[in-house]
Amino acid sequence: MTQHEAELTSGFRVERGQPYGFFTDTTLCIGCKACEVACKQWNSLPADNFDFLATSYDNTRSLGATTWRHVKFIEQAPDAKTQGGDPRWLFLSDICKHCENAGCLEACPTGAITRTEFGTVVIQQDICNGCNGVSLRQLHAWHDQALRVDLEYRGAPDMGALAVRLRPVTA
Amino acid sequence: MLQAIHDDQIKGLLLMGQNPAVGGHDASFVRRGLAHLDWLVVRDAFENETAAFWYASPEVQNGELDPRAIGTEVFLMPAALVGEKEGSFTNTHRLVQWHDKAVEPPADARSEPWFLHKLGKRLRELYAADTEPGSMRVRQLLDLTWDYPSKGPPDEPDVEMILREINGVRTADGSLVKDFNDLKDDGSTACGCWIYSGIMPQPGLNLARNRLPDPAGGPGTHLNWGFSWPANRRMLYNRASADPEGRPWSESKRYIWWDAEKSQWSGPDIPDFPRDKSPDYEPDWSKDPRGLDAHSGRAPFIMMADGLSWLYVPTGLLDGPLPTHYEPVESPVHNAVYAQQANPVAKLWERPENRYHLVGDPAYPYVLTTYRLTEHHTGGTMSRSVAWLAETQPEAFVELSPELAKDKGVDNGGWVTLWTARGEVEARALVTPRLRPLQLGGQLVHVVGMPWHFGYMGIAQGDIANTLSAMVGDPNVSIHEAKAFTCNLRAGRKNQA
Repeated sequence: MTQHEAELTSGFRVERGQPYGFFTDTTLCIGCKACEVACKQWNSLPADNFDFLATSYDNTRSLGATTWRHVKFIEQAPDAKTQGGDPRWLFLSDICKHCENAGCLEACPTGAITRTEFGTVVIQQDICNGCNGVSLRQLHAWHDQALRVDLEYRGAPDMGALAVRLRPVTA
Repeated sequence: MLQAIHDDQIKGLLLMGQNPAVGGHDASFVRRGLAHLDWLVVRDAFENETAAFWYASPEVQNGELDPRAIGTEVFLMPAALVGEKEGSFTNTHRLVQWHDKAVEPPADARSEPWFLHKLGKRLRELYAADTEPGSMRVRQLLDLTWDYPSKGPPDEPDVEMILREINGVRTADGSLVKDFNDLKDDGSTACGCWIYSGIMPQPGLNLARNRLPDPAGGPGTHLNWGFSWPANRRMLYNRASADPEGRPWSESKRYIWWDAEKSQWSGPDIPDFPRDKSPDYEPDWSKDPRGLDAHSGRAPFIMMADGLSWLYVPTGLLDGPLPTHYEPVESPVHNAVYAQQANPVAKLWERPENRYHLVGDPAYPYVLTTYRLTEHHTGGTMSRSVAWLAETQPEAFVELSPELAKDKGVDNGGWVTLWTARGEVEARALVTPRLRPLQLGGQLVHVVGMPWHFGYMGIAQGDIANTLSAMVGDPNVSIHEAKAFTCNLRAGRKNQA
C-alpha cells in the first residue's frame, strides 16, 4: 500500500492516529450474534422481525433504522474459488459507521436522527416517522461499498490464513 | 425416571430450571407421561412446555391427550434469575465464582434456596403432627438441622450459611475446617461435599468471592480469583509436570517441582500431591501403609488406587478397557470395523412407545443429528421468551444438503416433515452446502440436522426435535444418543400426508 492510497483512489487523505472506521476481524468472529443482541438491548431498540428467512443463520436481513448491528452469514459452496472440497462459512459483524458526514442525518425530515455529544449518530425511535426505512438501508448499502471488506487468502485455504483490509472504493 | 412416571411408580415431580417436554428424549412419550402424575411443580422464569403440556402440547392438539381427562395438578412457581439472587457459579473447569444479588426479583419470583427452605419448614410442621412421631419416615425430617437464618425482605435464607456447611464444620463447636485434610471419619466433623472443603476456611472468608487476577507477567494461575475445587488447585495431578525425580520436564514449562532445600513441592499452583512427600519416598510395606502413604513419591495420580495414570482401563468404565468404534444404535450402515455393530452395553429401553429402527432399515434411510444454536439456551425457556434473542432464530428449522433437497423436492424456506418410530415433526427447511452426503462403504448416506431448542411456548416456537429421538443411554452416565439416529422425511407439512 502506498502512503496515501486513499487519497489517490478516493481523494481522501488518511491521517495517522485519527479514527476513521471499524475494523472487524472476520477470522475471529464465531457468528454468535451477541453483539447484535447487546446493541438492541443497550440502545432499547425493538425486536421487530420474527420471520425465518432461510438465509443461512441470518434472520436479520440488513442494517436499518432499528437494527444497528448485523452479523452476516456468508456460505460459500465448494467451487473453483475455494480451491478445495470444503464449503466455507464466513461471519461478518457489520455496524452503523457513525459517518462524519452522515447522509441519513442530513436527509432526515423530522430531526429523529441526531449526533450525540459522543459523536455517534442515533435514530430516536419516538420521533422517527418511518418515512425512509428503505432509503436508510440504501445508505447503509452505500457504506458497505465505501468500506468494502476484502477477504483474501494468504497461503493455503485450509490454514484459514485470511487477510482482511479496508479498501476505499472509487466510483 | 420418566418411564417410572409413565408406569405410575412416581406420583409427583418437582422441576427447577428443567424442561423435559422439550429436552427429554422420545419427548412425546415424556409429555404423555406427565399426564400420569398426581402433581407437577415447575419453577422457572417463564411458563415452559412442561408446565403447559396439559393444554398446549402437540398431543393435546392431535387428540392423544384430553385436558378434561388429565388429573395432574400443575403448580407454576416464578423463579428468580441469576442477577436476582446470591449464590455460586461453577463451570466444568472447576472454578467456583460467587455472585451477589444485583436487583430484587420481580413480584413473587424467588430463589431456589428460598423455595426449598420454606418447603422444608412447611414439611416439618406437617410431620410434627404425625401420628407416628418415632418412625424413620418422620424422624428423617424432624431430626434434620434446618435453621438457616434469613436475610430480608424477601426473607431469603443466608446462602453463605449453606456454603459453611458445604465447606465443613467441627460438630462439637461448629467451627470451620480449614480444608478436607481436617475431615475425620469419626463423626467429629460434617462436610456437605469434600471437594469444596476449604472454600470458606474461616468465618467471613468466602474464597469464591476472590477477584484478584495475577498481574501482567504472571504467573497466570490466578490463585486469588475464585476457588477451584479441590483445595484451590488450578491444574489436577500437577506433580506430573515434573519428572520422577521432581525436576520440571521442561524448564520453559516448569509448573510444580521438588524444592530439595525446603523439602517441599513448590511452584505457582497448589501442589496436587502431599506437599512434603519427597520424590524418593517409597512405602514401607512392613508397616502396612494406608492411603497416600502406600503411594510412591514418583506416583503423581493420587486419586488412582496405584497412583499411576491408566491408558488401559480395567475397572471403572462399563465399556472399556480400550476405545473403539461402534455404530450408533440406529445406523444406516453396518460397522465397518468390527462384527459388533453397536455398543454391547448401551442402555436400551425398548417398549412400544420407544421403538428402535433396525440397522439399514429402508423405512428410515437418513441420519439425523440434533444440536444447539448459539442464540438459544437448551430447552429454550430462558431464550425463546426474550424478544431480542427470539428474532435471531425465530423458528424451528431442519438443515439438509442441496442434493437431498433436490431428491425430495424440498424448497429452501419451505416446509419439511420428519418422522421416526417415535414421532413426527414439521419445520422450515434450510438448504445448505454445509451439509453434505457421506460415502459409507460405497453407499450414499444423507445427513439431516435439526436444532432441538424449540417448542410450543414463548416467542420463538416450532416442533420439538426430541419428539423424533429415542431413549438410548450410554452405559456409564446414561447420556442419550441424540447426535446420530435415523429418520425419514418428505417435503410439506404434517397434515398434508
